[in-house]
Amino acid sequence: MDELLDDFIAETRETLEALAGQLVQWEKTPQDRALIDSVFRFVHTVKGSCGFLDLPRLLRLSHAAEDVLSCARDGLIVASPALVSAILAVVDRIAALTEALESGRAVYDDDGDLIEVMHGFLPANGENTSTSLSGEDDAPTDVEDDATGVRSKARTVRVSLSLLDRLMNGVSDMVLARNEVSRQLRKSQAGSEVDHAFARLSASVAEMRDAVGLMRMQNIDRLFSSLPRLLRDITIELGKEVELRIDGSEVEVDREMVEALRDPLTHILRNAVDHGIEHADERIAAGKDPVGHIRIVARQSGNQILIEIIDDGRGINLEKLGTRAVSAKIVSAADWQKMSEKAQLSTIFIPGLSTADTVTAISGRGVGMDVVKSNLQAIGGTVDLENYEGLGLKMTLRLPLTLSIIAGLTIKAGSQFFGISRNSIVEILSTTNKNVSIEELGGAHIAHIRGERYPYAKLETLLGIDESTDAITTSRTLVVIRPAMGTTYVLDVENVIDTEELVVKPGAPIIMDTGLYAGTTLPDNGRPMLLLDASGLGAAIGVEQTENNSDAAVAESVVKEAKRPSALLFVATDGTSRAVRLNVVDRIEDIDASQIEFVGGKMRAKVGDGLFDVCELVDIPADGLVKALRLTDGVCSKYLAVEDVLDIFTLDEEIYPSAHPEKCEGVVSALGKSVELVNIFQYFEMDGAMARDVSTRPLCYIGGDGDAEWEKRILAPLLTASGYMVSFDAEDRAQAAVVLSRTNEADTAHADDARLLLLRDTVHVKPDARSSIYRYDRIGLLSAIEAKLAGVA
Amino acid sequence: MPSLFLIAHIDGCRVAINSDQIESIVHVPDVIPVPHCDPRVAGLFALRSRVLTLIDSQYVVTGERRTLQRGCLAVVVEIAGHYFGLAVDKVEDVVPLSADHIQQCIQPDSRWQSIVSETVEVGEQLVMILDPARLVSREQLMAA
Repeated sequence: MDELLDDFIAETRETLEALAGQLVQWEKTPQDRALIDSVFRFVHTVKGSCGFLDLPRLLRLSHAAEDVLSCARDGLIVASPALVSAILAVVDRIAALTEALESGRAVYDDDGDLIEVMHGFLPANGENTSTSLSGEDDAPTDVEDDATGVRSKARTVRVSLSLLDRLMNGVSDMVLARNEVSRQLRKSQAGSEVDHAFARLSASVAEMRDAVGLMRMQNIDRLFSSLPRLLRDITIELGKEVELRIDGSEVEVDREMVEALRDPLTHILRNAVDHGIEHADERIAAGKDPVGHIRIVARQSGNQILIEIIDDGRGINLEKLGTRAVSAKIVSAADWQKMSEKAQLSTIFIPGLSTADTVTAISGRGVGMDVVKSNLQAIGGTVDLENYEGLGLKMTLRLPLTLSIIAGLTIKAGSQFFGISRNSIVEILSTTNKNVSIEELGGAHIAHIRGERYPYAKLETLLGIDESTDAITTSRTLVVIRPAMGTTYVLDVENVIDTEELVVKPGAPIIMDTGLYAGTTLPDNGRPMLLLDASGLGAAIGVEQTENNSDAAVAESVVKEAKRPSALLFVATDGTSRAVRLNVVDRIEDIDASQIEFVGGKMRAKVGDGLFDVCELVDIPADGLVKALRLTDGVCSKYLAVEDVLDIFTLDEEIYPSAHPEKCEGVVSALGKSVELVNIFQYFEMDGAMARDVSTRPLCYIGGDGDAEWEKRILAPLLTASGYMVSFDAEDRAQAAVVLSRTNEADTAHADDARLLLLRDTVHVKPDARSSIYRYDRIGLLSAIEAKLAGVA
Repeated sequence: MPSLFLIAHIDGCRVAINSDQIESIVHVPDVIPVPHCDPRVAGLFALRSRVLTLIDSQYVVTGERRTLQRGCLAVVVEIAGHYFGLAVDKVEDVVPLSADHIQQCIQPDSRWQSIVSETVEVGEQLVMILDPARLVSREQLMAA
């Protein structure tokens, strides 16, 4: 019996959330039969279960709601806000009672009032018999409804979280065991059969790991389903009318994320209705639809989840925000004037600031947006604002895909390896970089990077471990870290090893007490690794835990930096250092040597579905990877093979002209050396014919009788490759730009056609003096076609 | 009803650990040190896919740090959802001890008092009963 009760509680709780959303929907579209059916079905199920489990209070409540809903279903009463409110009240009470069932607490019993209200909606009293009758009549149809309902539902099983965790651990074990086996196999040279079997095992283990990863995922609808109800409550309280549209409910997120997002999203929605959306009369005056619109869109983008909340309200009045910020002593009036719009906007995330004129029960106390931001940062997310004053506000929340797997960076300090989340890392520099210097200030160290000063500390010193002795001569690496809480600082580590996906495992309390670690992880090599806590390290350095106001300034300087042209310094395949303008470099890729072939007179690499040219590659290595820059001119892409990629620098100095402008654009100074700036033009200019738009290609009609084997096999491919369209269809002759023919007789009729180009089979010119071209004279033929085209045009 | 106790050696002394709390006894693989942490923590080690915290039990008694090497013996216990390895010199045997033999009137040396509150008679000898939870507790941290 207890088990049944537990099931009932779990099931009811799950359905309740979705139900509230459906009720609100029904209020708007009272004629929607499917909605009222599903609400009715829920209440009916609760009623049935209650009778069976002997829960009289729930039974009475659900019975009353069922009566009313049944009338609504039969069209005897129409959905009204009052009716929906009353039903929602009953639903809330059912939820409260269900919770109470589980916790064993008591809930104040005024169900009678609720039931009274319910009965008030019934069309006429004294028709009790008819309602009960209709109830009986409905019974068979209910069964039908239930059956269809069950069929459409996805088949699911309820699994306890601990079992899920055990499964995940088991799979991780398997992965580690697999790695161990792979190491042993490599040692023992077991032969191809074993290798094959092992490869199959590996593949299925990998697949299993992915599947288990997915099991942690949950539909984001679980989060969204409660929003319509929330919005309804707020709008009724504030007397505004708002329509909510939700897209992307099918996006899957980590189940922990759903919980972590609930509060921020609630805050944002409240803010949007309270501050953003204006009252109807104000909206009409502004020429807007009197009903406000809020749109929530969720989508997955790479390894991020994006949630956009867009309202068409008044947006943020920057002037007003400035006055508030100045009066709250957050910035001085002079500073405010100097701040960029983006920096001004981001002040709404500072605690104690609000643009609301009056404090309402819902928002306006200046708490909210700062909570939103810190909650999001706690789960590794960010929030962006796009303000359209008078027209609306768009908020974009960016979240990592899961909480348990982070994109991490492995760093080395002393003889140990540590992991750190990549989210908080701004950039990584070498100490040999001439833009970097370390200064001392009253015993503390400060890193000076491109005009910005940051607190600085050596990781070894922070952790009290020895620096490894053999590394003293070589350069060290600086990691610029901007933690979720606190200011940006620079961490000096021995080396940055790699970036990889790290599975976060919680650390024992005794370790977490240090405040320096975010947890532990177990990389594939089976040696545990500590994860550093970016905020905790900042605190250990002595960085104050305050909101960083220069954040925006830093971002701005980065933007400025980006506007100046940058170039990528690389070592070319011939061993010399060269530079290439960064804006033509799409990305840096390692191409498997087996994907590169010398075909058609060029090195070509098969990448994805396409075949791309590889420039500057002389030999294909037997195996391994070829480093290449993917260059793009916006339309087509090709690869430029390189030996190594060195650095990125800004082209702020003069470009000295080159002696061979077709090969290199000029000579520039990069990090103290003079290097050639590669002329990208040369790589793309040969592509003229290929890049020609199909529709503008001149049409060549090839006339002739018989099977025209030579034309089809040899001539047509040549013309196509040279950028012409080819047709053998006589109907196309009229619109062709050039007509080619090998047989004299057939074309005597068209001898006056200026477009006609005759081909002959022999090298020698025949005495009949008709001008013609030998059919294997490729250059002659192509230039003759060009000449004809020019003549026709 | 007698319960089973594992007899192990810490700093040359025999201690008994209730087997209900013990998951396994392992030879520790590579130990990864945890810098800037409570000195009781000898490091981290991996046991299958789990990461365990190795506790230098001897430090709690002697107050002297030592480096624990790969291959040392550890008793794996679960405390409040986290797994720990308690480093021990050696393990003897698992013996059934009945509850009425457990007594609190004889208290051990002050060095042991923070982790032992009861003693029990095993054969002829009096043995301290180790409370693993107290080895890793926060109060212990304060005292240290």
